[in-house]
Amino acid sequence: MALLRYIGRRLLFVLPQLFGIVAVSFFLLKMIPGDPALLMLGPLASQEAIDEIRSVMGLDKSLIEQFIIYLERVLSGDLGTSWQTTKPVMEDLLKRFPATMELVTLSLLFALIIGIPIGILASLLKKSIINKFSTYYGLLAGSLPDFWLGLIFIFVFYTILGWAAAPMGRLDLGILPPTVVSGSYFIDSLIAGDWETFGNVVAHLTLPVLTLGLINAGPIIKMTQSTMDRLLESDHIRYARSCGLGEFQIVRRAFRNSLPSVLTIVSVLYSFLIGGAVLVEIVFSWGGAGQYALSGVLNADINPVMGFVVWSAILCLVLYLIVDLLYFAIDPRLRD
Amino acid sequence: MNTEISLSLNNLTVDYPGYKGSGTTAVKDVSFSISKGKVLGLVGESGAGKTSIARAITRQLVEPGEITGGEIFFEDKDIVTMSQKDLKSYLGSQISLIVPNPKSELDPLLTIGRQLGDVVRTHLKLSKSETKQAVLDVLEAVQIPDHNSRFSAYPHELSGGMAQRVIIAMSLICNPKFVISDDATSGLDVTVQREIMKLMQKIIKEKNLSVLFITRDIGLAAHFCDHLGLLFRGQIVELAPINEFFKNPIHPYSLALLSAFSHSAKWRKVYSTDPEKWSKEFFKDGNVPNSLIEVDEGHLVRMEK
Ligand SMILES: Nc1ncnc2c1ncn2[C@@H]1O[C@H](COP(=O)(O)OP(=O)(O)O)[C@@H](O)[C@H]1O
Ligand SMILES: [Mg+2]
Repeated sequence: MALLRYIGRRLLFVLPQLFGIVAVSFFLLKMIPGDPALLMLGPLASQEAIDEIRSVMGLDKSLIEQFIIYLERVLSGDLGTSWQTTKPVMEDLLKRFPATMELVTLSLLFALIIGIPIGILASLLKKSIINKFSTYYGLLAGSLPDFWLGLIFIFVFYTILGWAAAPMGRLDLGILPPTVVSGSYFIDSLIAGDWETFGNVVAHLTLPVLTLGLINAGPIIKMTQSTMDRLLESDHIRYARSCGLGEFQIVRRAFRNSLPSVLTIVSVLYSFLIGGAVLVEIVFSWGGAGQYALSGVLNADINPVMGFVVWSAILCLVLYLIVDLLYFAIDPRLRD
Repeated sequence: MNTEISLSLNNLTVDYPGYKGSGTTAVKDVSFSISKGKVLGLVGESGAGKTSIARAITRQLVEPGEITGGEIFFEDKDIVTMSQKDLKSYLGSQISLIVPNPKSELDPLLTIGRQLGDVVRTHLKLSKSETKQAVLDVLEAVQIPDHNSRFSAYPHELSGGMAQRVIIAMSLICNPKFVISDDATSGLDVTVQREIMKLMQKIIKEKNLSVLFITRDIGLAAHFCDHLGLLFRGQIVELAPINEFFKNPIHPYSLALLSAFSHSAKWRKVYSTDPEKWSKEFFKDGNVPNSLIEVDEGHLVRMEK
C-alpha cells in the first residue's frame, strides 16, 4: 500500500515535470539564431515567400503564443512536422526511438554482464591481476571516446578482417524489417521467429553494442567494486562471517546490498545514453533518435528537437519510476 | 591439555600496525583460561582492548588488526593457526559471538528467519521444514513475543532489545559450547538491559555454556561471572575468582574502578584508593610492569616482584 501511495505521488509530479522540461527547452531552442524559413527556402527566396512560410509555421506570432500553440498540439499527440523529412515528427520518432532504445539497452546489459563479475572479483581478490586490470580498465574506459572506439572496431573487424556486418544501419539492404510489434528489430524478429532476419539484426548490433558496452562497463565496474569493498568491511558482513557462513553466502549478501548503488549508476548511464549515444549512432549510421535530433539542431528544424526532448523526458521519467520500484523490491526499509 | 578447559588464551597479542611502523598494540600478552560451564568476566574501560580480544578469538579483526603472537586454544585446537575451513566450521556452531549494536550487525535486506536459517543450514544438515522449526524454537527460547510473525520481520522493524534477542538467538541456534558476549547490552535502555541479562543468565545455566563475558560495567560482571579479569591498556592487571576479587582487590586500578562503581559512601571508602598504592610497584613510568604475580590461588596481580 505504501507502494501504491508512492506511485500515485510520483505520477502527480510527472505532468509539472514534463511541462517544465518542455517549456525550458522550447525557449532555449528559440534563442538559437537561425531562421527556419530562410533555411527551407534557400538564400534566393523572395521576401513574400519567406513571409508566407513564416506565417504558415506560426513564426510571426509572439514567443508565448507560439509556445501555447505548441503545447496544445503536443497534448493532442501532434509533435509537428519535420521540414527535413517532411513527415510528422511522431511518426519519425516512433521508428527511431526503438532503434536507440534497443542499442542502449543491449549495450548496458552487455556492460552489466562483464562489469559486475569483474567488479566483484576485483573487490574480493585485492592483490590479484583482475584488481589491477579493473583499475586500468576504469582509466581507459573513462578516457576513450566511444565513437573513436567504434571507428577502430569498424576498421579492424569490418575493413581488415571482414568479420562484422557493414556499419550501415540495423539491417542489410536486401533484408526487410520484421513486422512491427515493439519496434525493436531484435525483439520483433524473435517474435516473428524469423531466424535469418534475427541473425542479420544481431550481426549489425554486435559492433555498436560492443563499443557502447565496453565503454560503459567502466563506471559499472568501478561502482560495483567500490560498493563491494565497503560492504565486505561492513558490520553485518563481518558478523555473518563470524557466524561461519560460507564465502558464497557472504558474497551474495554483500552483492545484494550493493545492488541499489549499481542500479543507480545504471539508471544514470541509461538516461544519459538515450541522447548520449548519438556519436556512436552516427558512426554506425544507426538512424536512432539522437541522430535525428542532432540533424534537427543543425538545420534549425525545431520540431524534431522538441519531439526528441518530450520523448526522452517521458522515457527518463518512466525509467526513474521503474528504478524506484526496483529499489523498493530490493530494500525493505523503503517499503514503510 | 586439560579437558576441563573450554577456551584458553596464551600470551595473545594483537597489533594494529600504522603507517611507517607507528602502530597500536591493542592487546598485549593476555592469558587466561575458561573452564567448561564457567563464565569469565572481562572488564575494562573503553579502548582497553576488549573487542580486539573477542574479534581475535573469532579471527575477525578489523583491518589492519592482526594477531602477532600467542595462541588461542579451543578445546585442544589452536584457533590462530587453524585453516580457514576449520575456522568456519567452528564459528557459529561451536563458538559464537554476541555483538553490541545489533541493528547494524544484521543484514538489513533479509528477514530474521532467513538470517537465522542461513546459519542453521550452514552448520547442520537440516531439511527446509526442520530449519524453520529450529528457527521458531530458538526465537521462542529467547522470549521473542509473537515469534511466528517475527520470523518474517526485517531488522529495521525490531526494537533494539528485540534485535539483541535475535543476535542471542543467532548465537545459540547451533548449540555452541562457547559463547563470547561483547558488551552485549551497552546500547540498550536500563530496563531492557536487565531483561536481556536475565535471559542470558537463564540460558547459560540451562545449557551449561562456557562464556567470555565482556563488559565495561563491573557491577554487571559481579552478578554474572565465576572469574573476573580486569583489562587495562591491553593487559590483564588483575585476575581472580569473583569472590576473591571483591573481597581482596589488590591492584590500584581495580580499587579505583570498584570505588567508581560503588553506590554507597561506605563501599567507596572500603575500595578507596590510597594514593600511596599507585606506586612504582604497580606503575613504572605510567606503564604497568611485565610480571603477573600469583598472590593467592588463582588470583593474579600485575606488579613488581
Ligand atoms: N580498526 C582499528 N584500527 C586501528 N586501531 C584500532 C582499531 N580498532 C581498535 N584499535 C585500537 O585498539 C584499541 C582497543 O580497541 P578495542 O579492542 O575496540 O577496545 P574496547 O572494545 O575495549 O573498547 C583502541 O584503543 C585502538 O587504539
Ligand atoms: Mg568494544
